[in-house]
Amino acid sequence: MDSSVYANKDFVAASKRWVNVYCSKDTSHGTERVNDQEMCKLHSTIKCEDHVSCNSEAGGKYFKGTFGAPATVWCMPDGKEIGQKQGGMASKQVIEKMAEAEKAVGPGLDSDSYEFLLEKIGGGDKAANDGKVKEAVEAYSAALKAMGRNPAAKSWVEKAQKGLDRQVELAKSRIEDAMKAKDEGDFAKAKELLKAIQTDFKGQPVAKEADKAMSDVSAAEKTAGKK
Amino acid sequence: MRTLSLIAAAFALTALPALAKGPECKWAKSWEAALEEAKARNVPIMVTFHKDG
Repeated sequence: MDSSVYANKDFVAASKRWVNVYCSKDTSHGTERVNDQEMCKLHSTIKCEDHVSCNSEAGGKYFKGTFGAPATVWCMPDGKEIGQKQGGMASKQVIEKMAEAEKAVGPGLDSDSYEFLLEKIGGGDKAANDGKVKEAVEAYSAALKAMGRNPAAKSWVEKAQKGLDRQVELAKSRIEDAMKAKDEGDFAKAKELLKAIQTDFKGQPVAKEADKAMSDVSAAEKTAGKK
Repeated sequence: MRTLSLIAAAFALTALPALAKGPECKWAKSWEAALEEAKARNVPIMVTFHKDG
């Protein structure tokens, strides 16, 4: 199955719709160097120690006593077995069995979408913690724009929305600070606060609130200049 | 010219295995990582065993 199934382009494309675990205690196939790391020669996205540890962790869960390899088990996200087959399978058969498992589980995120969301939401959180507001807003917005209508991404979209909402709340509080600065006659400070919001939140509704506040500040400054 | 041809042939022989590799399935790095990712994505897990147990 190593060469007939796992290298098959249709299988590789379909396998993005589930999580794959390769279990083998055999390391005789050796390793190959990939980006300065010794990776498994059969499957260069993992190390041999990975498939050995997966074998020892998962092996006892699905078979009582001895079993004949290759063997395939398809399970729920918590590892509960749905079905299994001992003996080789064609890539089409594996895809069909996994499609049955997908129906049992319900809508799920493909690995590309998952990695995209991890990158955007993780990046947004990091940027927010580092005070890089524009970067955070762009990352959360990208996640919402790309995945907002994907039912499988619901909890992730909520995370992105919460992240964006936190930034918007801070922006609103800065608009209030700008208004206070305006009332105190510190027009330069007011404009500086509002300009940052206009730049960081470009395209967001709160940027329009900043536009309006900026007009108010300019009008107040003009009036003050006439006195 | 002959030297250049030999260099080109040697390069092709070195590069071929990498080019022939093609698409690769992404495997979980551990059983715990597989469970964590499957729950986060709400997707099934395919576990495959390749040595008699």
